[in-house]
Amino acid sequence: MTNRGAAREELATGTRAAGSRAAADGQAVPALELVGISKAFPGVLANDGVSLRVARGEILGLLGENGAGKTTLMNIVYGLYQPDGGEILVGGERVAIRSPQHAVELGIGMVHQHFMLVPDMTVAENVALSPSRSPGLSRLDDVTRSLEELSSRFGLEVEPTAVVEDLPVGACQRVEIIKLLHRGADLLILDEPTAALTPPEWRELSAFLRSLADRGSSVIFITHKLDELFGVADRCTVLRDGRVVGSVPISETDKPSLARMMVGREITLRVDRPMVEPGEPVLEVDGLTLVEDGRTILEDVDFRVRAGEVFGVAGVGGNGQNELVEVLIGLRSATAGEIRLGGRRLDRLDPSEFVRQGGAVIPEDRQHEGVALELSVLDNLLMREFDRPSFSRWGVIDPDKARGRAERLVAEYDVRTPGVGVPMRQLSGGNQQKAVLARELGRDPRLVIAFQPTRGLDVGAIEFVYRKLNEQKRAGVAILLISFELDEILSMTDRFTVMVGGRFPRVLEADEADPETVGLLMGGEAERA
Amino acid sequence: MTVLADLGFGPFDTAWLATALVLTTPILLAAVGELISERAGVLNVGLEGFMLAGAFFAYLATWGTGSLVVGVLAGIVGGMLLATVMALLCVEAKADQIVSGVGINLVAFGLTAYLFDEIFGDLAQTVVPTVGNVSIPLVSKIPEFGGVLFEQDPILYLSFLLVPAAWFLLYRTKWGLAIRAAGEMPAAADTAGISIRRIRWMAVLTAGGLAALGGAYLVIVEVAIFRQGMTAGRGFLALVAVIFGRWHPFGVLGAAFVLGATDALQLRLADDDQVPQAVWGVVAIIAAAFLVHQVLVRQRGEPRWTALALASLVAVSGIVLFATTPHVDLPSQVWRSLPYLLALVVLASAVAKARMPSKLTLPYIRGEG
Ligand SMILES: Nc1ncnc2c1ncn2[C@@H]1O[C@H](COP(=O)(O)OP(=O)(O)OP(=O)(O)O)[C@@H](O)[C@H]1O
Ligand SMILES: [Mg+2]
Repeated sequence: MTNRGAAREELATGTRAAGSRAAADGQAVPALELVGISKAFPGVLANDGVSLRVARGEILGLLGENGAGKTTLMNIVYGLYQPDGGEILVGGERVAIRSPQHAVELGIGMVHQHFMLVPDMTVAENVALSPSRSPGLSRLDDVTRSLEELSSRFGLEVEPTAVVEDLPVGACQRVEIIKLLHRGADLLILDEPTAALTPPEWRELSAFLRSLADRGSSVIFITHKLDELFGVADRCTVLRDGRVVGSVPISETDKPSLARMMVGREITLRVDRPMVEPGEPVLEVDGLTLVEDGRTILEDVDFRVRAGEVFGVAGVGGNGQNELVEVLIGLRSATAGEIRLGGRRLDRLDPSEFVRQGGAVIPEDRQHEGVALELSVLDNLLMREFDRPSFSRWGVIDPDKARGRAERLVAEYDVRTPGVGVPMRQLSGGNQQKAVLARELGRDPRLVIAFQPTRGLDVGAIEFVYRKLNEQKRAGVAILLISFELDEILSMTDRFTVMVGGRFPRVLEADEADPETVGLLMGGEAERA
Repeated sequence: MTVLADLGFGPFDTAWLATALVLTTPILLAAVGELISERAGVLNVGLEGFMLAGAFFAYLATWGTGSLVVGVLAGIVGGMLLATVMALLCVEAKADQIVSGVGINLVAFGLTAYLFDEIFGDLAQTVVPTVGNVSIPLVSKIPEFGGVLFEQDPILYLSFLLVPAAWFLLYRTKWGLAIRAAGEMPAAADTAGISIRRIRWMAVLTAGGLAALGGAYLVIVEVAIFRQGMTAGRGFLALVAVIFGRWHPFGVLGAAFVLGATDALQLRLADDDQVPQAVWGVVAIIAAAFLVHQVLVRQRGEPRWTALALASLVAVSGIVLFATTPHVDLPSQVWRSLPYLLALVVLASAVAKARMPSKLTLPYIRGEG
């Protein structure tokens, strides 16, 4: 109650000192107002009487733990779900948003948390799918031209003729944003649009969002990265378990108190790196080279990851990280080079051999590579170990034992789900990620390849992942951590390198590294590209 | 008529080609409609039923009014009515597409048989008028092939023109984008403001209408009468053509032609137990064409050595057999299906890299992508 009061007062006084006209208009009629929105799914109340307002010209940050109900709420605004109760007012008028088409007509645009891209179409075709004035022909030339213009204006590099399924995650994210920019909207909803953007891309995007807001558009911005919020938002609303726990002007708060609001407890944003004496090398990579279609993607990569050590690979996305992981786990065959896992050569293209040798992987794109959305949580958790004698005999699974194991994993890894029998797609994005973690770390691997393991996770869950990885490290597991987040690399790894244009220029000890040195190494890439 | 025969192609002469084209047409019509429907994510197992309905209503209306135009239209409407049932079940009620399709076939078979008995039971088999051929000026005068290719009925021309038209629709228009998105990633189209319901309705109706036209063709071009179950599996052949045609209009054309051409061969050589020399020649040609295709169209990833080796083996033995013409006696049913089997194997191995629309047969429910 007091929070809502505060929010209203804050709206009345104008959101930004400088935001004069826009904010004054906003006071009269908010661009979007939600009153008491509720939505239940079988077994969960995803939104429970949520009320919030976005003024014209305002950027609202929407925060909350994984599963707090942010995506559900925004899907309601976008017409994908019908609320069970509550009212939506757009520009002061009550509306029942029946469908995304209707939302588009009302001037609402949304970047979804999970990519809404047709994999076998080109970027231009995906953009051309959105409604525009010219009906009939798809006018791909026009779209291509306007894409080129948009991408150069906002520094979002996209190749209009590239086929989406060949693109790395970061590029898909850029395509999603470009799609929204191309269509144009008065109320922009961005559901974790930055999970795979590089810092310069984020800077461009945030400047652009600011300029849109200054021209009177409104933005709702969902993120788990609190730093980003402080750069761009005017105000932020926090959800927990489907309810609004508070709404504060960004100038009156700080990171620790936002984190506390989200999680409901004190949380440490830094983890201590445990000191472990590294053992024998577990993963040895020598002269790994990958050439495809005449392009050198990996060039003579050498490294070792020892037992009880976290080896980091920093760098901007799209520098070969994806391909490196695919070669290591046997999804792609290298052009040259040698990979040894626990002293054994892995040279045939065979992901199951990787798993048998004690390899575990937390992939970057969980929805495509990490989980089977249609299968149950149980199947997803146990799919790698169904052949273990502990719950199957002669190929027949013992359902009680399997269920018991799945339930233990769900509890240990804090996967929020109504039960282990529900299909994976019903879980919130962050909880799907935790399920992947539970599956991979739960079967005592020798080597863990963690590729952006905290992408899309809330602060509490990130802390949890770090703790789990460090536990593994103490138990003598070798960990290869590939991340685009420099902070993550600096706080988690013992040694790391920066990946630039498919090469590892130099390995740094964690203690000798500082953000400047690393920034310079990464900058080498900017010049090369 | 005989240039091909003189060249040693035996049964594969221009008369065979003319028959092949006519027999390809109904399969092609149904397959093009089904292609569009499948690209939008709906599989019509009931294609056979649509065809049968088209054949019956075309017969009924032509018999009643004496007008071929009314007949064709009635056939199309009959198929579309059945397609409406399919769309209500699968798009609206989100029922299982395969089960619904099987039901459609049963209903179509029973209903047409029943109505036929009721209406024509006591009458002698009445022959209805058929569509005449139209010869296209100039090109129909080309020696040998002109008459075969350009002196055919208008529906045949239409069916072959539908192929580039379907290509244009799918790959050059917004509708096509929406159709492909509806089959591949409906959530992306939905969030872009495209109604998946509308797209899938249109797609199913298109499949119903075109399949029914194919069925009508059997009556008003080919045989001039109606018989129970007269489509004789052509609807299923059309489904096969879509799969072997790799969900691409030109692939579907190729596959439909293989099926039609085999049918024509069976008609021409009803019961000859000696394998004609030409069959070996055709086997060699198909295998060689496959080899050339594999070499020219560079596949992603590793070359498929086993496929290449097998094709070379088949091509070489085909040539040897063609040259030496051994006296081989095989039951005609066996050898007549040889080119057919081979062509399907070739198409199937090309399918390896083709993909079914990812969301084929899956109903779209918001939020469940
Ligand atoms: N289609 C669905 N069917 C059933 N339950 C669902 C569905 N979508 C979401 N939920 C449940 O609703 C709750 C809220 O999910 P939502 O996706 O809105 O969370 P979120 O705040 O966006 O989390 P994240 O940060 O992980 O993306 C979760 O408990 C989730 O399991
Ligand atoms: Mg979410």
